[in-house]
Parts: sequence; C-alpha cells; structure tokens
Amino acid sequence: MSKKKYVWLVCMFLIMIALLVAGCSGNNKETTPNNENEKDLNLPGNNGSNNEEITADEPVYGGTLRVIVASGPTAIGHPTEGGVARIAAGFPGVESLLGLMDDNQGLEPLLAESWLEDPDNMTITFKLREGVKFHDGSELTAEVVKWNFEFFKSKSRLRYVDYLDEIEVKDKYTVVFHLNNWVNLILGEWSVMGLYSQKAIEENGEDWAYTHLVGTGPFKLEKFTRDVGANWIKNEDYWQEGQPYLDRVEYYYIPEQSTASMMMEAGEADIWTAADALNTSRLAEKGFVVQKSWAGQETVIIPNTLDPNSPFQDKRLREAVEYALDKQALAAALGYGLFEPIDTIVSRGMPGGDKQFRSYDPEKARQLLQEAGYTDGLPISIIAQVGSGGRNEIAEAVAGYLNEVGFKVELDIADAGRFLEEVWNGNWKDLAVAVTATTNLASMHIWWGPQGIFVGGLRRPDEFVDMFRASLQLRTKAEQDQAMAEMVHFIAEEALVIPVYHEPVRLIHNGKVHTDYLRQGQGRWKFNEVWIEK
Amino acid sequence: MLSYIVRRLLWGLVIIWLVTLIVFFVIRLLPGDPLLIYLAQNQDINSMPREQIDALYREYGLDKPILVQYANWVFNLLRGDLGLSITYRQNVGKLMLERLPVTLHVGMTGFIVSLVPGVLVGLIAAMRRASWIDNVVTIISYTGIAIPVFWLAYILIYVFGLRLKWLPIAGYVSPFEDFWLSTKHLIMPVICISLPGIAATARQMRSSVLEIASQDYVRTAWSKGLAEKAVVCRHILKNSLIPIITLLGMRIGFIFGGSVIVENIFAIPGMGRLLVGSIFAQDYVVIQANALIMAVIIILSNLLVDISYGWFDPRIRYD
Repeated sequence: MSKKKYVWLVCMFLIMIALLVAGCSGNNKETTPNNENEKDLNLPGNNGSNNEEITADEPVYGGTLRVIVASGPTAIGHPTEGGVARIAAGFPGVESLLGLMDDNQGLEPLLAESWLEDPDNMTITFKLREGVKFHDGSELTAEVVKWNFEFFKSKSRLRYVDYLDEIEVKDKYTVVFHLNNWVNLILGEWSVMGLYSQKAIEENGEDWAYTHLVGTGPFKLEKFTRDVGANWIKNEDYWQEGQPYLDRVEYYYIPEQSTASMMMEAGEADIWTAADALNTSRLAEKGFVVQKSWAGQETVIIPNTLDPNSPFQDKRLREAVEYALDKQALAAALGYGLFEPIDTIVSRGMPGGDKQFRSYDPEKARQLLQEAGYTDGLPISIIAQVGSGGRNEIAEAVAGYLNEVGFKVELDIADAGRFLEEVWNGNWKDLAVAVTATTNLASMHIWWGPQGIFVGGLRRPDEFVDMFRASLQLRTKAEQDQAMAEMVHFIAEEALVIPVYHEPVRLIHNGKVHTDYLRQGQGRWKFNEVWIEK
Repeated sequence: MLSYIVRRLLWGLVIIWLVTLIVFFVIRLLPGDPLLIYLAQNQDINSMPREQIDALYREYGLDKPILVQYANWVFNLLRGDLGLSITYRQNVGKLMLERLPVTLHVGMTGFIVSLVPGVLVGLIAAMRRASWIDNVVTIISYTGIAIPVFWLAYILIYVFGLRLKWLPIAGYVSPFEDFWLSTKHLIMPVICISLPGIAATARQMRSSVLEIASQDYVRTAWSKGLAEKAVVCRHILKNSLIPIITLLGMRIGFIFGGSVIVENIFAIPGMGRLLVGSIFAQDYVVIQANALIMAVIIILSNLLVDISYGWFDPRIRYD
C-alpha cells in the first residue's frame, strides 16, 4: 500500500471518530426521562399555576433520591460553622423549633408543638414535642434547646443577641426566652435555627462535628465527604409516624454546570437545584420538570447616594437610569424565559412588588439627563462582579442601554474580593450591579435596613429609617406586609435602587420526584414528605 | 553523589523560600479582604458585632503589619504549622492531608499511564520510520498535544458517561473503599491527564530514538549481526530515555497544574479543587500552603530526575 493511501486511511479514521461524536449528539429526545412531565410547575405565590401534579398520587415507600447541588458546606454538623451552605446541606437531618409554612405564610409547629410570643412581657415560650429523639438516641429537651442557643451565642452567631436577657428552662419540655426589648424579627430568626445533639457534640468535640451530624430529622447522616457529597439513610425512629418515605438521600456536590447537566441527562441524579438559566431551559426542552419558587434573587442597580460628590445625588439621574432600561428585554435575553422584570426591589406578588413607578422610556431618560445639566453626556462607572468567562452580561447590557441615552459608561468588572469589599464598604463610585433577595421584613432588615448590607453607599433617609423602626414593632403579618410595601415603595419612589429583574429559585427533576420543596422558598425542605415513583 | 544531593537540597530550600516570598506577597496585592468575603458569604457581616469581627482579624493575625504576618507564617511553617484556613476554619495541614492523597492518586495514575504507552509508541514509530504506523502516531500525538484538557474532559463525559453510560460522570471514591468503583471513577480523569503526556512522550521518544539510532555504536551493533531486539533494548532504548526522563520531570508540574481543571470538571476533592475555591475566597493560608507543597514536590521530583540520569548514562557523574 502506498504512503498516500496510509495517509488517507488515517484521515478517514479521524473523520469517523468525528462523525461518531457528532452522531451521538443527535436525537436528544431519546434520553428524556419523562416527556409527559414537561411542564412548568410554577408554584403558588408566583403568578398562579398549580402544583397538583406533585401531590396528586399516593406516596410510595423506598428508593434513593439523588440530588445535585453546586457546592457543599465546609462543615456539616457543627452548629455554627460551615456557612450558609451548611443549613441547606443539613435539611435531611436537622430540624428547628418551628418550620416555615408553605408559600411565605409564616411559621408552623415542628419540634415545638406550640409557642407563645408575648411582646408585653417580652417573652417567647416554646412547648416542645415529647419523645423526640436525636439520631444518637438522646432526647430533645428544654435543656438541649438552651444549650444550642447558648452555643450560638458563644460563637457570636445569634442575630439580635443583644435583645436576649436569659433562657429559662421552665420544665423538661418548656423553654422561655426572656427579652429586654421586643422586635418582630426575633421569633422568625431564632425559631428556625437548626438544633443539634448536645450529647454528641460534648462527647465527640467540635472538630468531630465538622464531618458528622446528629439531629432529629428524617434521615441520619451516613457519610459526609467535603467537596464530594453526603449520604443519608432513613431514620427508622423518626418522630413523624409513617415517614420518611425514601430509604436514602444522596447529595452530590458538582460545581461545573456542564458536568451536572450531563449527570441529569445520564440518569445519574434525580434533582438538580443549581442549574443556571441556560441549562434549566435546555433541560426543560428535553422533558425534565422545572419547579419555580416564589422566592429568588433580584438583580438591582444601586447608585451611590451617600458620596456627596456622586452625580447620583440628583434624583433625576437615578430616574434616568431606570427609564433607560428595557427590563422586559433584559429579562428575556438573559433569563431564557425564567426571569421576570421587576418594578421595585421585590418580585411581583411580594408586598410592595405590584406597583410600577417607571417604564422603559429612553426619550424621557435623555430629557432628564439634559435637565440635570449633562447635555454632552455623563461619564459614569458601573462596578459588577465577574461572572463566567470573565464577564458580567447584565452589566454589559445595562451599559449598552445607558450609553444609548447619553451616559458614557465605563465598566469595572471586579473579582469577588474587590466587589464585596467595595459594595460592603460603600466605596463604589457611581453604580453597582448587585444581586439581592428580599421576601419579608427580616430580609428587608438584612439588605435595606439602617445597618443593611449596602450601608456604606446607599442613603437611608431619616423618614425611611423611622418607617423601618416602626415596622419592627408591628405584631400581625398583615401589618408587617403593609409596612414592608410602604418601605419598598419609598425606595422605588426615590429611585434609591433601580430594580431590573427577578430570578426565581428553581430546581429540575426527572419527573419522578414528588416534593414541594420550593414552596418553603429554600428555607426548609420537608424530606420526610419526599417520595419518588418506582 | 551525596554531596551533590545535599547541594541540590540546599538550593531547593532557597527556592522554597523564594516561593514563600512570592506567593505570600503576590496574593496580598490582590484587592479584597478574605475575612470580609468569608463573613459576607456566611451572611454574618451585619449580625456580628464589630468587636467580634476585630477578634477574628486578631485570630488570623490579619491585624498585624504584612511583614510581621510573613514572619509569623514562616516561623509557624518551621514548626510544621501551616496555619488556619479562613474559609474552612480548620488547620490547613489537616486539609492538605485530606486532599493530597486524592490528587496523588489521580495524578500519579495518570503519570504512570502516560509513561509506558508514550515510550512504546514513540519507539515503534521511530523504528518504523515513514511507515503508516509512524504517520498514525505522528497525527495522533500532535492531536493529543493540541487538545485542550477541558474539551477532552467534556467529550469523554459526553461519549462514555452520557451516551454509552459505561463510566460514572463525576465524583471520587477511595480505592480502599471500593476498588472497582474507584477505578471506574478514575478512568476519564486519568485519560485527560495522561493523553497530553502520552502524546508528548511519544514525540520526544521518536526523535530521541532516531537520533540514537544514527549513532556509530548502534551501526556497529547492527554490523555485528545482533538481533533487532538486542540492538533496540540494549543499545537504543536505554540511551534514548534521558530526554524522556527530563520530560517526565516536567510532567510532574503539569499533573498538579492540570489537576485544577480536571478536578473541577470531574468533581474530585483534590488539591486543585481546594486551590480554586481558596483563590475565589482569597483564603491566603490555603493558597500559600498549596503553592508550597507543589513547589516541594516539583523540586524533589526534579532532583530524582537528575539523580536518575546517572543510572541511564554512566558517563554522567556529579562528583
């Protein structure tokens, strides 16, 4: 055979490999798990729709639920270490005194069968369920609850700790928190903190708790490996009779979107809670079920209104920014149909989220810019945190719209360290693109309160601070929602923050999983009620 | 020889000291405050009293001047204390003990896998120069060198994980826990790590064999009527290996560098993944320890490479 023929043979071999790879990519529908479930289960509280499909059938026992999350905690069973990831990672095994009700409706009994909040006497009393056991066999008592809260306090991880005078163990199953001041955020904050076995931590030490967890939940931690995953097995002695339904829960910590997506398609996992908009939309097209929550994140633009030299002291310029943005187009382009434009700092459907203050009007934006004296345009900078590929697409898109109306935008794409430092300390020059999450009075406090996150650069007028302080004394949820709406409207009226879009929390599953996790807005996952079809 | 090794080790210490200097000060040139990132990620920033935050700065020694921080770090290093991670809130030495075996398991398997096929294929291609085998090896080895690791990883996942479902897509299982499952998890990452190595080794081996094969002593061996096997094994192979040894020494660095990409794509809990997370969190001590350990491994592997020259070529002496 001549040399030329050999070369041809090699070329043909390579082409065949290429064709094989390309050929494999066709006919994607073959791998769809269940095309009949191709529907968007938009849960109540978020533009209607229903979730009947996920609760209509009778639960069946058995099976392993395999869950992909983007990352795991650095510690799983330590009451205060491990970051926010620890809370979500511990859902199968950890429970709290009270649980979040579905659809942002407040609190319901969990480990405490009842509670009494007495603002006049400044006490909160919890009556515990009797007979609840931790995974190590020790009993949940008032002493254990007290120990947990003393532990949080000793590690400076108890919010509103200054309001706590003492914790009284009234009897074996009754614990009373004595306060020196009452604000309505305390109950919601303290009652949902996970409770851990005092016996296990005292016997084994805090270091042990980094990789071991002993709670009261429906699943016992079998094994936790940092950056790999966590395996849970059914708690046969769970206090809720007949539950849980599943035999096992396995968590996989997969940081790469493409890897996680292919694991879902290959059937190596049942649920993925961290898909970006592109992968969510892609998998939905392939027949996976997407569930959306009422909760989520809001992308907003925050003008620096504290710096006396900032041009954004002028309200007209802040309004010009909002008029310049076609939020509908931004949400559609960046959200693949999942994002929704917002008119205030909260999503539509939340208290204060139902009123529009400004709509897309580039002509008005130009006019406002000129009225403010910037006839030749205004050079500004926008700081945003770096995203994939070293870019920040939302900041780029916003810059495009602002340049159209006369701003001259210079983008400052910062790494996480610099971005956080500038945003937390208020050092950003003009505008900052930030992602926030406001769903109730407590999150209003964290993000927008007088000591909120953007405290260094966002002006809180005295009138707003007064409204905020007054809201903390309101007792009913209706009153609190009303106050929250007023504060949200105040921020919008003053254009102190420019809302852009809402990105709902969502999960993708293979159509065989029955869970209403997102009705609790990611604050709780009732694993005892989860089941999967055989 | 002993004095040479001692000399090299002393130079190694100097290099390690330079690495500590560079890593320590370069990280601190980056804008951002690691403690602030930690607190922000844990949403503790506005619930923790200022005194407590100040106490954390003191706990990590971040309240001291930078030169004092450096001196403290080096002093603790000499006592075997790698420091306390800000993100993990644990001793970095303990973290490294968790991660290093995983990276070594994946990396060294990839290293060994790349060694034998690369040498064999290169040798065969050279001995059958200008044949179809040579052409195939040349094309495949150039392709292997040119393929980006991340692209190869996704193609492998797509073909063997998603389509054929032969291999698990991601994760890691210790071989002591389940050897077969561990091996299945290892196959794709090892291919990603070893393929560029196989290709580079094959190219280098081919060139080296061709050069040695044209030497007078090889011609003499042929003219003596020795069998091909004897000529190749006794006279060509051993003498062709010296450039390969150099190349392999350099590959050690690649194994640790490449682990960053491979470990992230395949969700392997090794040093590469730890490094990426630590860089995003600006967890100074973890980054420093990671760089330091890599430097030590590379220095030691290069020393081994230099020592092994003498075995492959007795003319090389270090005295």
